[in-house]
Amino acid sequence: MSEATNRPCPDRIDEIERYLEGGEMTPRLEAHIASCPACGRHVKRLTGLEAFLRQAHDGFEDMEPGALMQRRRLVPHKIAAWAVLAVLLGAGVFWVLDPSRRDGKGRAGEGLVAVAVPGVEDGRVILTTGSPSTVRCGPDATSTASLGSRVVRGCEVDVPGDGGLAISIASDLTLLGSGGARFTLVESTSASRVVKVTSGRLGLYSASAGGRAGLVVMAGKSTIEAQGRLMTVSAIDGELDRVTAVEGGLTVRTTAGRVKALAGGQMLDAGTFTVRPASDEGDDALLVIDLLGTSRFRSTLTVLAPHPVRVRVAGHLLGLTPLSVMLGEGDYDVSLSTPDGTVLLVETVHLAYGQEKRVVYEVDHALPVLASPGQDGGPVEGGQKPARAVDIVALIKEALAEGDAVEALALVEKHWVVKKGDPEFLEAAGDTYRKLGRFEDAVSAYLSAAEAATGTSAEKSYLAAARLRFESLRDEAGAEQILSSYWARFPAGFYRGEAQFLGARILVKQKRYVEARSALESLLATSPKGYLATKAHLLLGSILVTYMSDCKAARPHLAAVKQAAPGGKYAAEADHFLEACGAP
Amino acid sequence: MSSRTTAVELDDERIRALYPRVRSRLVRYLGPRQDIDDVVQAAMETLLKVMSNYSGRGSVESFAEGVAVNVARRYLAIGRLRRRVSDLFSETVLPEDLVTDSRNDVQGNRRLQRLMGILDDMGSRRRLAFVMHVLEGRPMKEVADALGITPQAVKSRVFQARKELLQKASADPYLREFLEELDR
Repeated sequence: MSEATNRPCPDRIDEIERYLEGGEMTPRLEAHIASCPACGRHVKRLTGLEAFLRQAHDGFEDMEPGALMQRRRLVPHKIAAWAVLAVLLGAGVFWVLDPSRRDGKGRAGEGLVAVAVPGVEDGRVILTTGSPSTVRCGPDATSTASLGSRVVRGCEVDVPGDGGLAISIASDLTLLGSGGARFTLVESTSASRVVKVTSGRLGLYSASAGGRAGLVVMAGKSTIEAQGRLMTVSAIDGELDRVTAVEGGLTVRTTAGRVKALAGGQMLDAGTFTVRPASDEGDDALLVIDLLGTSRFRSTLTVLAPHPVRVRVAGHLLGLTPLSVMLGEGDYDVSLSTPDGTVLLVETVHLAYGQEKRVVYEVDHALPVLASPGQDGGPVEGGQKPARAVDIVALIKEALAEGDAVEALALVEKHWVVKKGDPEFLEAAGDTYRKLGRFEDAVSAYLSAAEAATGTSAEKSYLAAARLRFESLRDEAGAEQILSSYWARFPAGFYRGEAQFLGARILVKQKRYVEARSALESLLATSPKGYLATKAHLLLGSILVTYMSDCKAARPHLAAVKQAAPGGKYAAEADHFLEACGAP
Repeated sequence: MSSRTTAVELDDERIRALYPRVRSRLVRYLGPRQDIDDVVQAAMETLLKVMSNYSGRGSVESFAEGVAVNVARRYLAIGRLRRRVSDLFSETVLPEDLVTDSRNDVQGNRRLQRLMGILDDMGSRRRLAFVMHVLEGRPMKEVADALGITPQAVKSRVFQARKELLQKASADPYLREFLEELDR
């Protein structure tokens, strides 16, 4: 609903205010509200919000301090870059395999194929089947879903009974609406994806091995937090009907305070709020297979699946998923089958220099729920050896540069056992985990890289680990410990300025302002014109104003920021703090 | 904490009696934040410092409340600057905090968290007028006296606060859904 349609009539504002102040609902206002939806909405919304806040406010004194964590301002993290990438990919990389080309070959389920665009912040339709679905993004913004259609937050998607739809809402996250499903993309940011299911069944598939953090599904009075890779949520008339954790766990919470944690292979019946094995559900298991191809001189074909799936390329059995092979340009027959030999898909894929593709298949075949596949890709039959990547680290970096962390992760997991002693590989693994939000794994990888490496490479790895522990895991003590290891090994390291500055930021967070001041003054004394000087002046000036009430000492530092970076964002920040100090 | 003798005897007993009142005011103005006890401590220290200014007009409780308002106002103003400090060099998008609550009312808490976020971003003058008048239900005249402004100014601030609250709530996905529920 647009902002304009919610605005009350300007000439009624005073009357509405009087009413909100506890005044009588005059017949005149009542008649107006009956004929003016915007004014009615305005009154209802404000009354409701204020009642909610008032009720909460009355309970504040009974709440523990900090029971409501303070909201942090989210700093856009390369969102613009992701958006540009998404647009570029959206414009140029859509690659739809024409179903007619597959005549004579095996088909999976509806046999519909589409291409996902990695890196989208909002959703993008990547698969449609049967009758077209409808996307409503406002009262006057209803459209038919077609391949590539954008689904922004707030849009409601209606899948007809004989239809089906898949929407990619992140580079590693796909929504699969079955016939009759109705759902809304409530929030879509890199930190949090929230989907509300009103009716029908919705599948959520994460291509990341450990599932996706920050994925929440709302259905009626229940909230489902995903911890695994694949789950389905069914709702009837706005209320949760059942939830199935196909692979990996999930947690269901209701507003009444009931909580159930489901492991992979279990389902919850919302009516009785009981858990039972998913095999009782009777529905076909939902399976999605990604085919990822990157290319430069030679192309990489990567196959990921939520279950162990055998992969044959050109008739040769290469192993179980996840699997990545190097191939030259050309067409390849790829066959995927279950470990018991049931063929799921036979498809020709085309690999070409300069193209990146992801192909998502919906397979209408029930699979047993199995444990996660081994990292080595499983056994190889017939003496066939899988092709090996020439430079894994380069491929991982390339995938990351192109915004495809899922592909990078597949490479990391595939080659972990062999390459886990290689500092460059560990560094790339850390970058991959970081991109995917697996911060603990990233810190471990960076620290292993630091221990395995020497010189500036080791320094950089220590600092990457410390920064992540501090900024993303909010663990100041842990970050400080990593910095101690850094100083012990590199007392006069090349990146000592960075380490000093990060140390000062940690001290500020720990409210050790005097020590932070001393660290920043020391950094400025040893490197007054260094590239970190502007940042150090700004941080020092800001803590002097806000925590040490010393505007006199702060002014020269803030003035130095304005002088060093006039008109820039740091100068604007310096102005805020100078403003708080008032005139000298 | 030592007692002081001023125009009004501010002995330990009186301080003990004032403490919960000051704390209650501050919790209501600022919400149940992590550092609330530090703020209460600061308010009590300020009260001891400025008690010599107490002229005997009005009750000591009202005087203490006035101090709490001023401390809350300063806290809110400096709090916005402090948030700037912590965000200065942060380059990482942090996942939103999940709210912990004994009632497990995840949805309700998330909404409350978002609404408190809107109040935190609001200017301290608007926020205090809104909290005192709308949430505490105190008459405009009383709020005006506590804030040292005219009732007309209170009315204007409350109006602006309501406008900001509704605008920002409409732009927030969680709260937008809440608003749509209220429409029904």
